[in-house]
Amino acid sequence: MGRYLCDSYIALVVVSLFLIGHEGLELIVASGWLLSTWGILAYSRQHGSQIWRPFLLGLLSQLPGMVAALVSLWFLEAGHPNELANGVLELWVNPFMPFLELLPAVRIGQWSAVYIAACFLPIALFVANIGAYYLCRPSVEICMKLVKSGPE
Amino acid sequence: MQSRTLEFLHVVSKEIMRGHLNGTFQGRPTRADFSELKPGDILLCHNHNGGYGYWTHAVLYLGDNRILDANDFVKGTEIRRVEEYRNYDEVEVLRADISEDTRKYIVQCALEDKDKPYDLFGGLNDQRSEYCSKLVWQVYSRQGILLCPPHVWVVPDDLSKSARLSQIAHWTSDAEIGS
Repeated sequence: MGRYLCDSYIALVVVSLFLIGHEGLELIVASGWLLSTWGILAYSRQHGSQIWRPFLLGLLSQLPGMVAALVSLWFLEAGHPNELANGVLELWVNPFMPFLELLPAVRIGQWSAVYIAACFLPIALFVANIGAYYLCRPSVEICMKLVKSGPE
Repeated sequence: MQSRTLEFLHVVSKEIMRGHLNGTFQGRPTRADFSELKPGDILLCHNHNGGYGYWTHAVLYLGDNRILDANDFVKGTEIRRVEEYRNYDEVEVLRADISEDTRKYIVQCALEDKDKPYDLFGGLNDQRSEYCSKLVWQVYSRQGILLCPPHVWVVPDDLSKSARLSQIAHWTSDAEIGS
């Protein structure tokens, strides 16, 4: 699971570069990654995985994006925008840019809404993965019960 | 498409390893005179050590000393003062042979792109985000003017080779080359 979490997101970023110009496919691939990740997390919980493991691995898998976001924001606050940090952040969130671009094209203060969302995306993915660890299995069980009970 | 993507990524990643991307301004502004610019004119800007070609930036002149610029992931597409574009090592002005009405429509169309997010990895058919040369290309293509073939990426060098554009002026940090 750890290897999957860390390597699969990097693979997703690389694949997204070759899907430039195919926003529909990008959406499908990114959504597929999310669903498969959540499925694996739910499966790991069902098989006795402790919370610390997905917590730590989820954090590690999004660490590059979190660091890039922090560095980007830090340099902005210092008044010297860092091109490298911005570039790494942009690359890191590229698989989910079709989602981020659904946000209104506005600026909040001096910053683009998409940039602000991009800074939070690594954290959001981490939190979503932890949420999936807790929620996916009960959700699947509820659905299975509903299906089995069926119309009387 | 994939071969151009690979080639482009190879060039950019190689240059990034050397710290080159948008180039580095050498510190001596050009003596560019922007008084003769017309709305719809395209400015190409060059700084040394760019990572994706000779020309490192492309912007669109809107008139009234305003430029529409899609260069910043933090700020998105924004309007800036034309005087700021003296701070490049080299600046060139390109102009399309179009009517005044078309120029007006180009500017109106371009203003709709203000505040759109910057995305260097957005395809040409993605209308929700911009980068510098894509903005220029899209604005003209909406008027039916194809400045260059629609590759996966359009870079400023592609615009400089466009048969639809003529060079109007060219300044370096040493002197005006010609008009």
